[in-house]
Amino acid sequence: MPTSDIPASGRIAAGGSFHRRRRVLADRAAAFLIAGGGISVVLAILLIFIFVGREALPLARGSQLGNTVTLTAPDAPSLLTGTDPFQDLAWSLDSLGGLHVADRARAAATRLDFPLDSLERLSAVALEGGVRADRFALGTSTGRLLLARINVSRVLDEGAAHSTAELEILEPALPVDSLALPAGAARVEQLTLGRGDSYSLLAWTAGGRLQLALEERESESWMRLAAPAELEGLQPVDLAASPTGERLALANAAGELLVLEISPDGARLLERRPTGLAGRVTSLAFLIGGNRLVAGDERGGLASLVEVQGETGVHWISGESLTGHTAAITRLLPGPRDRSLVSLDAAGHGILHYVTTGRTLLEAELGATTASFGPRGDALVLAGPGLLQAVELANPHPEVSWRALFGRLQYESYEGRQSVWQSTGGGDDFEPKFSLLPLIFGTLKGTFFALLISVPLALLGAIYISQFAPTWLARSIKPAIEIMAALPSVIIGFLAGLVFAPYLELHFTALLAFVVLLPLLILAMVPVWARIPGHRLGPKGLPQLAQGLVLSLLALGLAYGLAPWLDSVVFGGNLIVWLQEKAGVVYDQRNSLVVGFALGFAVIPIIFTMAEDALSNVPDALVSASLALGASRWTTVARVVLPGAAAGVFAAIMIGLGRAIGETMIVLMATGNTPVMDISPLNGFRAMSACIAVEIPEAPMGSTLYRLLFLTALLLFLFTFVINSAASWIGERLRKSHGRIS
Amino acid sequence: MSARTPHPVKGRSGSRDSVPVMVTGLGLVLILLMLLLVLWLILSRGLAAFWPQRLERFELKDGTVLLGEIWERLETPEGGRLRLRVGNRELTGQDIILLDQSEIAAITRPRDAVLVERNENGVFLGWLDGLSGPGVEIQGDSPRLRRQLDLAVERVGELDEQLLREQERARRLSLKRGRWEEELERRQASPAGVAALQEKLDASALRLSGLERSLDSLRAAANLWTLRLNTADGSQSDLPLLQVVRWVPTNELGMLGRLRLYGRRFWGFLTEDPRESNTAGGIWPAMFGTVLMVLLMSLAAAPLGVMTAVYLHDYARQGLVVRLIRLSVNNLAGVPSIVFGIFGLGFFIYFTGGTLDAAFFPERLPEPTFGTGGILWASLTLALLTLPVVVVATLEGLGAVSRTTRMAALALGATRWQMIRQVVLPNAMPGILTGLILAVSRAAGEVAPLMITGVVKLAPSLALDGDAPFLHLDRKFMHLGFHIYDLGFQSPNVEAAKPMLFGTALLLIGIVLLLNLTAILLRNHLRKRYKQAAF
Repeated sequence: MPTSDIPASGRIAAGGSFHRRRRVLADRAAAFLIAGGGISVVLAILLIFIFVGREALPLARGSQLGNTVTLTAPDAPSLLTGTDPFQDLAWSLDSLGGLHVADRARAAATRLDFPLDSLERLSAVALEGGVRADRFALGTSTGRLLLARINVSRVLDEGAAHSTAELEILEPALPVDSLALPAGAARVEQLTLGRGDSYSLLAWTAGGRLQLALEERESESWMRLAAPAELEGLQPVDLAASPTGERLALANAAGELLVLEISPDGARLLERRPTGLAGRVTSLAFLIGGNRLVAGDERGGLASLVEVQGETGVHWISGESLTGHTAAITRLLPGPRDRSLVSLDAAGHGILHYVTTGRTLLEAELGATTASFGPRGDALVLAGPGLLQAVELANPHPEVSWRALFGRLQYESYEGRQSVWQSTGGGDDFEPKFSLLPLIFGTLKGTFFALLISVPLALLGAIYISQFAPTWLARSIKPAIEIMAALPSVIIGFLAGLVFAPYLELHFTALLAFVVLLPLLILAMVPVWARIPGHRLGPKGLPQLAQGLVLSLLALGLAYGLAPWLDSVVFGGNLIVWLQEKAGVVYDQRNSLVVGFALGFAVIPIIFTMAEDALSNVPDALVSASLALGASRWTTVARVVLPGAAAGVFAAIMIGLGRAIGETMIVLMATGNTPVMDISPLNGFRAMSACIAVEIPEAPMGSTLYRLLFLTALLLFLFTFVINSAASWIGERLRKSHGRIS
Repeated sequence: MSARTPHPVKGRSGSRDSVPVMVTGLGLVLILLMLLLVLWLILSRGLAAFWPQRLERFELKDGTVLLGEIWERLETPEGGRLRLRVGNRELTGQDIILLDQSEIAAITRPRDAVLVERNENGVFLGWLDGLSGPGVEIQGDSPRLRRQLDLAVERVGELDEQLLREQERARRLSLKRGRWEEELERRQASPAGVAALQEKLDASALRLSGLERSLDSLRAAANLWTLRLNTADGSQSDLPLLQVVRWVPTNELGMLGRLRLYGRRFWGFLTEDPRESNTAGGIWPAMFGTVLMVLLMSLAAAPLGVMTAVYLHDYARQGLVVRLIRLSVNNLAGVPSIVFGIFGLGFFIYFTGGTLDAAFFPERLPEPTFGTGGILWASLTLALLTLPVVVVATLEGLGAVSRTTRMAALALGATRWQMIRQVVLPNAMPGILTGLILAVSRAAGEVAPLMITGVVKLAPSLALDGDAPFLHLDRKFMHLGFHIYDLGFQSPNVEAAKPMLFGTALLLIGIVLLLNLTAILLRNHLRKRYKQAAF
């Protein structure tokens, strides 16, 4: 453009160029911004994947030992060691009764002494419940028993916290004279202490004989308890009391394990069985909850037992196998918070197990002869001659293992190995059960019944609308289907749960009768219609629609008419009662059939719309060719249109499947949400989506449950991602191939 | 997605073909029957929810006498049963009972029985027997009692309103005092202005105690009124008039009276706060929360969705990026809503909210401000969820703007952005609006992701109110869909909640269907234009 020689236009051009620059700038900025907006969708889906995955990922990380703090250590061998919740202090007890307390902040140690006689030595120690290192029982070589407590108080001054410890000794007022032992044989050999809400149990052996004492906690009075007669002459090599003192386990030299039930009424033998270990038992421990027991032997073998509820009552069976050691087991340390266990061997090697799953969480050379968990389970204190260390322990998700999530495990009190989802329960010593299988099963079950109902109806309807319906009908059906798609799932769910479920319970027979009668009626009508002259398929399929309506109403009426008769004559009054009595099938009000109808109702419009689209987009050329070759209309539809649209129809079903898998409110409201694995259509289930919705508000951030629910969400995401990607890939290919034909 | 209208296959056909075609028709029939059934259920029971039922007096064979409304007739294998609302929860413990029809000896409809709607313990059914208040002492049911009762209810209602106003004043004053006290604490270091603040505080303390005194006297004045009623079993009950919302001589009302009462109840349902753990009163906060959430969501979803669609349609070259975006949009549409919810919890609430809290509200920690569910996070989560709806509809709208129109704009020297802003977007507006409406409709009915990102069964205050800064994005809110779930599945008294439940469901469906019909009409308009533009 010649601009420079004409001043006037030059001005315009100058202004123009300014404008142009602004325009170009604006154009570039807009392009940049819009591209950013476009890419942000990709980012959004990536972000969802990454963030949901990021929260689930720590489940895969194992347990780790962290910082080690070395404290001033005593020279004497350690009988017992412990620490406070903050690892400010660590203590170690030697056999002379000296309690060495090391202070981390002051790098100093103090020594507290138990008042022992000159020749008296500590011969046995026991932590309360096997877990609490600040409350323990001591037995001496002269037959004295002491209960002791280390009271730790933490003070905050000027921002720095430190703790002080103080020793409190309680000598139980035991009727010692009733021990009636030969002189010189009073030495306490093994000792264990359990403490429940109303009773404490103290059990020890002296001269190879089992002694039991029970304290009533309210009155603080001790009484002796006689050992059962079956135990006469048994030489226990080790003892362990359950944390609450309701069970006592014994191992004898003959390689047997005995479990007693202890109550104020007496001790009763519950179980007597071989340990299954090759060597002599050197250590026994109950885990919290008192329903699991682990034994270690002199060859390094470990055996775990679990209490189950059998038909004949309580008994003990083998649990998951645990990784063994190569040297004799010296200590078994149950975790204070969960079913973790540290086993120590004579060579100083330590293994951290999770007993429920049998998973080995961690192996390390600890070099200690005694050790103990920190009260919160987040530290280990290690002690040995010249050694006192506090080691951080990261053990956030011990419950999780491949087998726990996707396999079967022997849980406490359960009969046989099962896959169970039970994330929370009463009490701190509840054993969490984190199998995802019941949830995945529930999701698949719900989806199956939904598709069972929606696929036939939606496909039949789509074939009719796309191939046989007059145009005006097809046009007016579409908004109806769209309205169906727009119905909020919370409304469908509430109708299913509160209206349909109770209704179905009353009219279950009628529904079954309808399902059976409808196809029978159709079959019965075939010969009748064949005789009606002029009954032909006209250009418009309206008569057929009317027949369908009449037939379904007829079947409905017949079903309702027959139901009371069926109930009273065939099923002896009530089908549901009959099913339960004759077939043992339990009928839940909110069952899988109800979900199938509700979820199917929600999925029908999706499958219908997409299938209808695929069917009407089969190229006209194919249809015309078939008709020109003399095929009838139905033959054309069955042989040409349906195969031609098969991929699209398949994609429609896939999209419906994806929707059914992820649907939350309907499964939440229309099932009882019990995580059972049972294929019966007459009981409920718990789906993954509903489980997330119900449990995530209660799950503390960062807990195993929280992360597992994110893992569940990740699985749902991946399921639907694969399904949707496949469906859209099919759709794209279909468009291309149809494009080629027409 | 082509919009080809299907047309029937024409050709030779035999009578044998008729049966399979009928079977396909049967599928359609069953689908439509299910849809009609659902719509009919919601419509009939939703509309009937506020209809004043007649009060019936039941004499049972064992001599018991009951007064109640028949809510439902059940046919069970064991015989007919009636679900009755007998009210008077504080006396009987159960306001809804099941009664075997075989137990009933006689049913009568007493003309003079009344229904009293209350703030607490549900309704009271019985007969008027007396009224006492300042200067009024009436025994027995009489026209005079009824006249006086109307006056008294009105008078106590006024007192109640006054009471609420004063309470609100007291609340605001103490809110202000809280801020002043905080400021005072901050200023302790530098004494400037401390005296003035202290003075303000002292003065407001005086005002507050004055307010509290007037509240007490109002309460006392309102409490002077009591209404005495007889119950069906002959016992008497005194109700403080302050609890009475309205009294209705249901059996004396004609059609017009019942219609008027229906209207009043429906209006109350729309505009009042819920009472008695949501089983009575209205759903105003839930409606308000839904609308506000949907508005916030649109603010986020609309620009992003339109940008994505414009990028796909007008900027991006066919290739990997476009396929990637299409794949993402398709997948975003298919990801289960609960996954969006848990993502919102992990990303928006814990990550973003936690970061915001640490940066801007450290003084309130560990009490979270944005690190917990709230209307902002719920809206953003739903914006992500409804994004594909906006994108797909906008794409269709953009497709309706013909190539020639674009060419014309470019030929006149417009840049691409000018063309889009001044020609394409205005013409694609119906498509964008369709998408937005559909997104709003989806969001109004979505519950699962909201349950974990900020919806509660009862929010203490609205997210938009007169307290600075007016819009409280961190507040939890109520939502119609969640209200349905909560009433039907977490309410202690599901039967008593059913009228509210069906009413709410009808309202929600009404909103969703209205939005969808609008969208359908808009889109049809768009498609018509598309056809014209194709010329």
